[in-house]
Amino acid sequence: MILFKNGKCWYEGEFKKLDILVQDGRIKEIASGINPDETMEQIDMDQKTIYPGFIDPHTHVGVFEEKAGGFAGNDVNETSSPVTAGVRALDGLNPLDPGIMEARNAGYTTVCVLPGSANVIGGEGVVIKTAGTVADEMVVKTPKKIVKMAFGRNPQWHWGGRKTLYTRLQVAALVRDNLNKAKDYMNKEEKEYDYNMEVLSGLLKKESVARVHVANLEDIETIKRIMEEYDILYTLDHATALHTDKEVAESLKDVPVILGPLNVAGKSYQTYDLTFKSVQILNELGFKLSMMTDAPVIPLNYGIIQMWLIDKLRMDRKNILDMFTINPAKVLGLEDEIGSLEKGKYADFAVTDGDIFDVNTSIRDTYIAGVSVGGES
Amino acid sequence: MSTLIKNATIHPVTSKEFVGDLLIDNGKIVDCSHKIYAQADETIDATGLHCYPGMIEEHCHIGVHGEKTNQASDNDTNEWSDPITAQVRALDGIKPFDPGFKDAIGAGVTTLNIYPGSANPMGGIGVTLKNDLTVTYEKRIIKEESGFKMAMGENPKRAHSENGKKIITRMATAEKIRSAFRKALDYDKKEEKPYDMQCEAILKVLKGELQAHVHAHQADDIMTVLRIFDEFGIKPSFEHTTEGHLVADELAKRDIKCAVGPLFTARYKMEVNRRTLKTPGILEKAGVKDITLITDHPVIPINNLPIEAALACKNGLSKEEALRSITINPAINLGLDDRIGSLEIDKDADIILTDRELLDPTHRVLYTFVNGKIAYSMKEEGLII
Repeated sequence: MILFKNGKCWYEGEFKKLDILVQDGRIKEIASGINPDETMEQIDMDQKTIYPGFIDPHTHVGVFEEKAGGFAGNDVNETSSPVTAGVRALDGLNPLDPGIMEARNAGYTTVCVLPGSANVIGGEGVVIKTAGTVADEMVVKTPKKIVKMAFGRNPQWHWGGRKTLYTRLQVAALVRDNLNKAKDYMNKEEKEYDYNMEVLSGLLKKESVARVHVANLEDIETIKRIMEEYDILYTLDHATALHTDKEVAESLKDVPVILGPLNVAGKSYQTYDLTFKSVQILNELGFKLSMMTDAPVIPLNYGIIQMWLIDKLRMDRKNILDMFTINPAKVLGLEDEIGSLEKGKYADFAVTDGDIFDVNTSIRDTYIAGVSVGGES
Repeated sequence: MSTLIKNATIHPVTSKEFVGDLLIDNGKIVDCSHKIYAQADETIDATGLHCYPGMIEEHCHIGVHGEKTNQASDNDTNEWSDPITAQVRALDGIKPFDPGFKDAIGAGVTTLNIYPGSANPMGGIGVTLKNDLTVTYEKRIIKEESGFKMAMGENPKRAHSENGKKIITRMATAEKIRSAFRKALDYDKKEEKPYDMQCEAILKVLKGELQAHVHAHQADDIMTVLRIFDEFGIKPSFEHTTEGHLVADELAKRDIKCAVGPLFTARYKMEVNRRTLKTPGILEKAGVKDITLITDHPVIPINNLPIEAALACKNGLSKEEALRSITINPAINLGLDDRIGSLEIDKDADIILTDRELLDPTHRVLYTFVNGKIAYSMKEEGLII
């Protein structure tokens, strides 16, 4: 057992001086004045602040390798067909991508790795812990499988040149067509095993969640229409323009929204409405938002900059921290495992030498399941 | 029109900060001291606020890049038609209503130096603008020809191997530059000649009338530039300088100006693999003077400029130099330090008021003054973020 002694802990929405007892990678007890005994290794946290490890629910680390620079390390979009539901991010994931190392050094302990957004149905995503050399050992099992989808400009842009798909009409038609096929597939008694259809059946049976790339308002409405029609669990990822229409936003209050990356310039048709103000507007409407980097779009070691920029809105800092911790844990269905310092949860910590909103604060140590895995050098 | 800013923490940048007042008259700073008793047309109570010179972005592509649609029809960054396009000017391709200008003024960036892109070994001539959106574009220009943009490394290779096969390797990039310099010198010697706009532009560089600013990430590219420039007896300034920390002593010894950044991008390109937040601090310790930080907007958003300074500071750059790197140093780099870059009497009244220190990334810019006029007010226009 390890006893993290006397740290300033981000606990139940405020800072408290507490001891954390860790056994088998999980928090066995969190309280003040836990008495150490000889079975416990003690780590002095007196000058340290302990945050729950940060979570990014939407990245491409490991499959979109930074260092390889192009083709060699780029396994993010399987663009052999616009529907590749049967492929899995896990099978293209390189744990040695420096992007993953930078994630853990920056205090991110859990990330979701998704296929890219070129395909209408891109494949299965996977949640990993950010330390390890064997991908399978890094995987965090989620209660529901994760299926990446994309609407709007990205599939249109990617496939337009290849004469497969020109308009949003066809994006929607492809989704409907494949879901209809999956319904038939489910109902057939005798059939050949089909990976694409198995994954789509999972969506129809609500054993999986669709993680839908979307930017523009018109696409958000199309997604809502289709998802309700087929009764599918889904999230809105990016949702760049959602804040621009409060009526539409209100109608989507039960759908998890993952915003970001917001610290980008170079506005395009998709990102024309991009602003940090969307965080405040949607927060005020009652959304429990999560924040993504879309790494390597923003590398995870610069993910914290988004936290600072959101702070310019002068929102309650608890709400901001939730976007990097417990809210993404809920998106992934892992709120009983990670996302806060609580008894029974994994001992995933970002240990700092001060307030995370202070630019001069460093991540001194990152712990995953009670094991030190990194920090800023 | 005069404005008195009362009781702010004033950061002149070129001297120590103090709590005091600042008086603007007719677009200039006319007084800046502990207590000013003069009357002004307008008084701003800045108690609790911080007062800085407006920031200067030495390297961006706002207006030429065309952010509004991001379509080819809107993108005038790179004149791809040839590797040597010395004659073109950013000035002629700027769209004054591009959203980046508004982002910049809301972030407190009052002067923008805009370059052509980095696809060409000789890409053309940059322009410096005051970022005053209340006046017409022509009135914003403060330096029509602010620098001669050149580029080394991956970008010219990529652009011109795909586009006409004019450059395949770094060797050809160097050869194109040498040949262009030589051609201009030969042109200069001729007595009777048809006017050659390209040679005329290059001659300005060779005669020291126009500073060459060379895009170079890798240390080997930096050294190749120095080799070529030595041959022609001129001195480059560097843009990006990503591996500058590996040749810091050489840069210091030669007193070369270095603009560093953008610091927060992913390592999409091989030549930025060794990028580190420590580079500015290492350059400073080696003795490189007037280090400038750049965002390359839209590569990273222009409001990241003070965050780059803050993180460079956290990683070894002195606090004094961090502040200078986004104010007076880019002014020096552009040869405009007699007008802008610090809060000093007789300088242009380009001023920002913030609620927290500029190097605290959570600060808000409450007012941006350009030439003594309020060019942005958060109260009127809301937070721009």
